[in-house]
Amino acid sequence: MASLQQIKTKISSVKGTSRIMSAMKLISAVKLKRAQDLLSAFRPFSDAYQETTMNVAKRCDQEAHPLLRKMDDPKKLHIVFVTSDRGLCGSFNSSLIRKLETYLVTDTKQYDEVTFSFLGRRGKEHFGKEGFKVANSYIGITDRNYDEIAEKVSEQLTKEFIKGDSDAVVLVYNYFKSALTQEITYEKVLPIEAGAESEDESQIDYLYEPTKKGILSELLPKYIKVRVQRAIQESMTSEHASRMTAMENATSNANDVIKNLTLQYNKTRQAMITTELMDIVNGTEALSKGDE
Amino acid sequence: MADGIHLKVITPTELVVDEQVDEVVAPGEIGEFGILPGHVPFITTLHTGELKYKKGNSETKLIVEGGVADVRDDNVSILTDSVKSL
Repeated sequence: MASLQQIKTKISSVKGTSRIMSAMKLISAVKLKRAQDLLSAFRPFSDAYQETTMNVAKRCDQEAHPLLRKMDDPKKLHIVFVTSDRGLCGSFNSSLIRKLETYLVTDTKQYDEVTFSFLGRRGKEHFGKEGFKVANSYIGITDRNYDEIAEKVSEQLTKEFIKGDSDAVVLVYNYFKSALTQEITYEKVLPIEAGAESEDESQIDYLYEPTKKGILSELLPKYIKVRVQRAIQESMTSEHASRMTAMENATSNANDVIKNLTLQYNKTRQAMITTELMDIVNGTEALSKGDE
Repeated sequence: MADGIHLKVITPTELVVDEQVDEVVAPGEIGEFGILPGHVPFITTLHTGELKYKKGNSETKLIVEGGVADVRDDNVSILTDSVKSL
């Protein structure tokens, strides 16, 4: 059995850890609030942008703009993988990585070449060594610079796609459903395709001003940026939510451990006292027996 | 024909307007244009300029900084980078 001193040291170290974790939880809660505000402000814009783009794409044929070009036999896949830089956020990164790994094994056979863009260090650390081509990697994405980074990434994706260096681009990230649930999301952004949900209320073509081409070359590249930015924001919000939950659980686990250790400490102390008392009683009894 | 137009003015950080209006006038790429109920599907890029919309007798003016206007089935979506009210 551990000595009293050992248990005491252990209790105080667990207490320290628990304090750190509950502080991290509070920090995450504040950051989550901020990220969530930004995200809920951005969502209507990005949804409306997507709707407009889809409506336009539906009415255009593939030759209208290079970003609409759909290959019959796509060979080069570009994966934009959005993770966090830091850990201690539960299964936030690990489940995303696992999902992508299975995906790479099962669904990418038709592609000869897979290129990665990493947004966030965790993804890079995991897939960076496996010999994939890496186009981009950004570390240190915060709520101050995501706009700029989304711009750079999307510019590069667009350029590459038009040049023919990639035939399809997908975004892999955690979608923020609520503070408790985040959903692993796998989305194809390029080539731009109107979804299959053809409610086709009116197939009347738009009136374009100034020209169809002008509209497309304004709308489509911006659309890619909006999508990338949305993915980054979803992922950032999910990260804070995930870290908050993880820290919450860790704090309550630490408190359980402290409770058990305290119990053990008290039991040991009691046992020691009992043993000492027995010693004394035995001793006095032996002495008084000797007197008789 | 349904009366009124559903106008939405959205920026990346704010949903500025989301209401039923009677008429919208916006600064298009090649000149100001007006939208009344029953307009054909229409899409244009915007210049920086004045966006006006009428509801009953009241008229509201906003400044939009570029962007895109999407007109479809009496829905007008103005997607712009920033909006200033006058």
